[in-house]
Amino acid sequence: MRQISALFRKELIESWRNFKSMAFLIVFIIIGVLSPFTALIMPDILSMVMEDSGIKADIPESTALDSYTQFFSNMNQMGLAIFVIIFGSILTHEFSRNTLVNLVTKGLKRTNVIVVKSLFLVFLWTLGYVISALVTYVYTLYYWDESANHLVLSFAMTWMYGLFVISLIMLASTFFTTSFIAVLSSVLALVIVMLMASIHPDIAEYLPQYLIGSNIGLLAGEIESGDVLWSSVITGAATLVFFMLAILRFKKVPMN
Amino acid sequence: MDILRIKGLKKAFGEKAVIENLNLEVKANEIFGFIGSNGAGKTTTMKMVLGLLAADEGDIYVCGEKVRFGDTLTNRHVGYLPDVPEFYTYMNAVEYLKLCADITQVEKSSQGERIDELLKLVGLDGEKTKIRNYSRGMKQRLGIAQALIHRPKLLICDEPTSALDPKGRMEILKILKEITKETTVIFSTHILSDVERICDRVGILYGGSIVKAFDLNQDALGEKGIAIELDRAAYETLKPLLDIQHAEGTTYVVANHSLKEIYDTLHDHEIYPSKIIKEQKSLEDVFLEVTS
Repeated sequence: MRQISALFRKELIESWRNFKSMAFLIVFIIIGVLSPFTALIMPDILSMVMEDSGIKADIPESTALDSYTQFFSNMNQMGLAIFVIIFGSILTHEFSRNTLVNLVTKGLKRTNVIVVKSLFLVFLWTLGYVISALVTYVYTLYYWDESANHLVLSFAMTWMYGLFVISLIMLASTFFTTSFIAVLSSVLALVIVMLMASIHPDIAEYLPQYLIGSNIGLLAGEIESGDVLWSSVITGAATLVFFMLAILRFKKVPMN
Repeated sequence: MDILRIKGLKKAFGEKAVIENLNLEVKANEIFGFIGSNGAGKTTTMKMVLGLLAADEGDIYVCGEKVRFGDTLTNRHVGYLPDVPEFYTYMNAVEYLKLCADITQVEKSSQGERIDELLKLVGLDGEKTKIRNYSRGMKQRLGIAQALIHRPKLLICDEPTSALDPKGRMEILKILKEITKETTVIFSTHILSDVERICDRVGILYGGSIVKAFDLNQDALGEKGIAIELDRAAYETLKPLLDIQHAEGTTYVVANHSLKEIYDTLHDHEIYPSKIIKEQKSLEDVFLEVTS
């Protein structure tokens, strides 16, 4: 336990002193603020553009659903990508700089390395995501004062997908010791799963991507909460399996 | 009990065998010089001892416990100083040593005292700057401190002086000599003068195995021969009579003859050398002998 707490403290100090966690939190707060704001001003922007083009159309007023649509659109693409870019090298940079050797040769359990790095990423992702989601929620409530169906579940789906991405990165980092290749292989794996969903649409609702593709459908009442059950179970199971595989694989990684 | 015991160790990278049937025992409280040319397999052996690399065959025991690749249990007995130690450079020395103390489960109550003691030993006491601003010598000294934080029974130093200037080298050698009261040191290097300066025993790694292991004293190194200072004419006379192996200036080294035989030969031919010295082999002589 002392090894875990010491290593976790080290991760906190590292991400604070190299400004990574600060940059990440600022970006996520900006996403939280910008999403409802963009939804709010979008009708005005559209009507101005149309007026300039000489097109006459009635632009409907924005709703709370537009605000959440903006949020999920930003978070599921940009937010996750920024998170992966900033923290995707959390394990591989220790390989490239050989900094783990001093600690492992002191009896630091390799399992603890993966556990702590995974916990740290989960902690940061949760912190950043919850702050961002709360900011969007509060602003949406302030501007529109409307409720939405299954809002907590909808938020939880993207959060869960984030955990899946973290587990994938950890696993890839134990196979590829350079950050770029580890991140690239994780992205490739995600793309392959997306392709699988396009080739066989009947399996799409069982895949992790279904979670981040269904936030708005769930809020709009187009699908029911039970419809995301299987993708949630499969994503959760895949996340756990990837974490376990990362631990097992890391025990057998030579350190030069 | 041997602090380190290696039996029948083998390791190959692809087709290339690096370590072949390596056997070694290191006893408590000695400084063992593990010498070999560049690429002889010293670092590979050390990394297998530390469980960082998998051995193809053979067993390694540290303090009687078997080393298993990927398992770090035996490393609680070991401290490791790599040739170029890498640190979290955004920390200062105290923060880094505190991290190491926590990893090695050093009691919280004694951490401060141990860190102060080590920083004093390596001459970094009062150093508040971040490690990123350290010179190479300072990093090496911090490397020793981190390796000793948990009072290991065995300290493995992998070419710790090879990247340092003469002053830095002397400082590291002095520290290593000081710590042998409570720690056994394996000093892997190809700088033979450093080994001669501090080691008690030496093992020469060549062709993947230890080809010679011996106590580092004059008797063990053996006699090189008898050096005689002669003029050219005397040399020509003696050449067919004695086994003169090589010459440096007017000094000729005679091997495979006793001192009495040489004296008798000189006397018989009325040759009076200006100097006769019994020459001992240096570590370099022995190293070249067994590796050529």
